[in-house]
Amino acid sequence: MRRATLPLLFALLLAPLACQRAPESYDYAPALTASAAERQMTIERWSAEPVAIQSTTVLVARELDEAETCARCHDGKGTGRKPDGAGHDDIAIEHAAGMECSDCHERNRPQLLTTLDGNVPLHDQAARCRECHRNQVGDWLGGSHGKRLSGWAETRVVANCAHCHNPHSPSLKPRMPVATPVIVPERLGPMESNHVEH
Amino acid sequence: MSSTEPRRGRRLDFGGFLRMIASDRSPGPAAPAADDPAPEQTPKGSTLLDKSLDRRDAMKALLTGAAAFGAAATAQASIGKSDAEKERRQLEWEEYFKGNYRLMTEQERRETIARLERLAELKRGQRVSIAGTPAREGVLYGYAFNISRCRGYRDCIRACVLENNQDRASTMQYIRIFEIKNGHMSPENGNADYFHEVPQEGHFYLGTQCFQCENPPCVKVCPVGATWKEPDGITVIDYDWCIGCRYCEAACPYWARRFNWHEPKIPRNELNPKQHYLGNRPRKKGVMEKCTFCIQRSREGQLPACAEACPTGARIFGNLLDPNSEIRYVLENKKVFRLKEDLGTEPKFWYFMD
Repeated sequence: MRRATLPLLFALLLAPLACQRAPESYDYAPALTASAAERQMTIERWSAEPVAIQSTTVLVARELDEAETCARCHDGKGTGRKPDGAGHDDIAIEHAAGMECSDCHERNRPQLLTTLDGNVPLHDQAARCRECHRNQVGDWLGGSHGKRLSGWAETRVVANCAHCHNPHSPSLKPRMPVATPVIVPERLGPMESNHVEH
Repeated sequence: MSSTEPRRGRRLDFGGFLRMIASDRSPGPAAPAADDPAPEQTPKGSTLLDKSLDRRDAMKALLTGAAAFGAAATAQASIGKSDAEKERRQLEWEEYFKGNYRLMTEQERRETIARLERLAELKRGQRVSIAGTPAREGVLYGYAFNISRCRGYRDCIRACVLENNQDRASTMQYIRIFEIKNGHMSPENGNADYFHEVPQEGHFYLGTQCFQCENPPCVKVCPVGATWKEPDGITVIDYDWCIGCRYCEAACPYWARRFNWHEPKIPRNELNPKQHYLGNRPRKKGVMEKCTFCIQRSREGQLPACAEACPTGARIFGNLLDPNSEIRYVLENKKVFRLKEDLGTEPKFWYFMD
């Protein structure tokens, strides 16, 4: 019995060590990394903007297909309600005072956004945002607002508005700062210094 | 140029010689003297140095003899040691006599990088790749920090520590984020040790790190030429040439440089294996280090880790010489300022607000 438990104990002790693997490299913003499929919109529609922008800029916006939006709840048989009956009442609009759904969404086809130039699909949201936030969209196109997803020497890929801002509640929320990786010497885990004892 | 030139950068090439004596391997290729990038210049009018040149030659001859004895003694003493142990000692011996990275030939750079990679494997049992990527042509790095976007989340600091293999035991950090009351303009009135929900009402956040000055005071004071400004504007340190006098730390008006009081400690599962000779390769006790705009990333075309990790887009990084870059847009369209501009250090790190 004892003979059997000892190796087992050892195995248990060593198990976490075996799992400790060094990373290949770090990805610091995994939530914001754009996949190839997401790099869909080009800059063409913005070329008339007053801001001089790079012709190579790619604005990232994931094109939402039907399965991800309406069809997720609406089966197309005209129920008109989500299965849980909540409808869209659970969406609280904490945007500008007095705003309501139809300020941005086409009333009968909410998968479209209304702009002064006509309706645009959801992934083209900047066209709607710009109608109020002209300065921000200008800075976003120029390069001082928003998040660049590509390296400095690569084709410029920037996140679209709803990448960072929830359109229904666009301000970023307060949170605790990130804890930095620290070692408390008393609680040393498997750790190596560069130094080797001779 | 002459003020930053390492004065005692004479290369002592014992490598090939030692290899012949200490091991039975064939002698390595001798370092070509013809393509030495910066032949040693004797400062004019210094007779003392002229004399010491002769003395230095004499010392070299003496040392070579001592090296031969040393190597023989090492070989003798290491009977019974494992092959890995012998190899490690051999490599450490050769590393000890290498020159300043700036004065090395391409061949010598390749050799020392190969030695360091092998040593990392022998010491830590971890494979790393150390790059020696040179500066790109026509590139001068610049950085802009949006003080109206930063919200003090500190994601940048975490990414920086992970990326640059900083000592975890002493919680070394290159970046500090100051929480400053609205109305104040100096980090001296700020608090970098906050730990509460951010952003706080009535405060703004301002991050500092090495500003890669165009006129860096830290480089001027280095007595051994172990730190210099690269052609792409990044001030780097040769960790193996630094003597740890900390003059640069005192000279920096921005408190950007850090000293290793102890052997840096990095958890095994957190070591970043993608390294650069002048960047994030693990340092040792008694040398200086600092932010290099993540030289191992930026020279590969990536953003520095802090800029990539920033969740608010407050950090803008790019090529100052490219008129289409984001950094140029910021400089041309925003109100920008730098810290302690009156000192004439010309930092390549601007603050701006929307």
